[in-house]
Amino acid sequence: MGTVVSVDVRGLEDPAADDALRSVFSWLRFVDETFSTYKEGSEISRLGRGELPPADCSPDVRFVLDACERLRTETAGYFDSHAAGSLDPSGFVKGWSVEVASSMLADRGSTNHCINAGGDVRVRGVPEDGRMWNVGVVHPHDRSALTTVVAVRDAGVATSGTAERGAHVFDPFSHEPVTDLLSVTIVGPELAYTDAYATAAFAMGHRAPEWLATLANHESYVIDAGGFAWWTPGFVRYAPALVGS
Amino acid sequence: MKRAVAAVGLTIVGLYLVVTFRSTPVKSQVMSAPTPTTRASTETQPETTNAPVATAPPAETTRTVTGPPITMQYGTVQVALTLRGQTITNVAAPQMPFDRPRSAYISQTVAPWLKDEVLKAQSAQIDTISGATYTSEAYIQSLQGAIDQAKT
Repeated sequence: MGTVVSVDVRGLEDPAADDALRSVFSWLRFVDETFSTYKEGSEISRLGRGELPPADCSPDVRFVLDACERLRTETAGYFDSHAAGSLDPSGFVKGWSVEVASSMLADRGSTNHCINAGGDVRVRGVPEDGRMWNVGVVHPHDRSALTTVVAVRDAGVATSGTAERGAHVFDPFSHEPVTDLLSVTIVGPELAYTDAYATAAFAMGHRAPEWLATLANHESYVIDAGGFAWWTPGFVRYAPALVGS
Repeated sequence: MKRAVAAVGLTIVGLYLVVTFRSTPVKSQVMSAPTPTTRASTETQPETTNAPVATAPPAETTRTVTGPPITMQYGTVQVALTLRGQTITNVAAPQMPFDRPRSAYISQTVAPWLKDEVLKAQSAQIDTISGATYTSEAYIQSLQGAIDQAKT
């Protein structure tokens, strides 16, 4: 899936920390084997080529396909696992696999950790007593700079934007690159959905703020092509410095 | 504290490098987003698909290889690997542009009233970064160079 993952576990000693990390990376390897569109033999590739009937897919794949379908409906078609022309559920798989990884860590005693998968972040607990995880949001025009910092615990933080490799998000209807927005950051309870919503919102372009405001339990921060920032009222809970701007 | 970094399927070859290493809290705080990956092939380097730090044979020698410095717009990134035999036991970045003072965090183009927010943000300890960075790509390149070197 072209993603690199880092896991930061706090307050757990070996061998428990080693065991927890090993389980997580073993899971991530399994996810990649199963869902990679780059591997010809992966279930997703075989499914996409029509060699594997959907009914014969593993429970994980069926779960992901169902979730993608629900997200497509929920986002009025802007989250589309077929946007690239062939089946590619990566937009859900990345966040979901990290979400599962975080649960695995918690089950193994790691109640304070931070997982970063290619700039999409899931945190649990706190990094140290007395403060929350500070997640910097990269500046869309200057990737060495931050545009804001959110302080979170038990949350997913996903940023969708063009900063990564030039314009790479396409409007699933017009098939044109989306240029209305520079970045969309969403904070919510589960990374699987914050990531998918951020992708969908970015594709919505100028209609994104209106849609984002309807999402319960998710707070958003959007920067448009003019460099103007917009955020949901609840977002300042995570970024108090925005108050009074 | 324990930090681990893994590469998940960057290329078709898709070798997974799992690295676990002790991190020092202060220096590593900005390294959470940039993470390493590898394009080494599984045929030649099966030992690196898992990096069991604790169980590595103690008899093997420990060595350090340094990747090429990768220069990008905001500075230079250079990655160093520590290996025990063919097992990577540590990844460090002797050169990271984020090691500069926090004044590197400057907002230039977002609406002016955001600048105050960014200035305030500079005083926060940043644990990780949401959104991709130039640095992560440079980090991957330098790490790849170090891995290639370690194989020879």
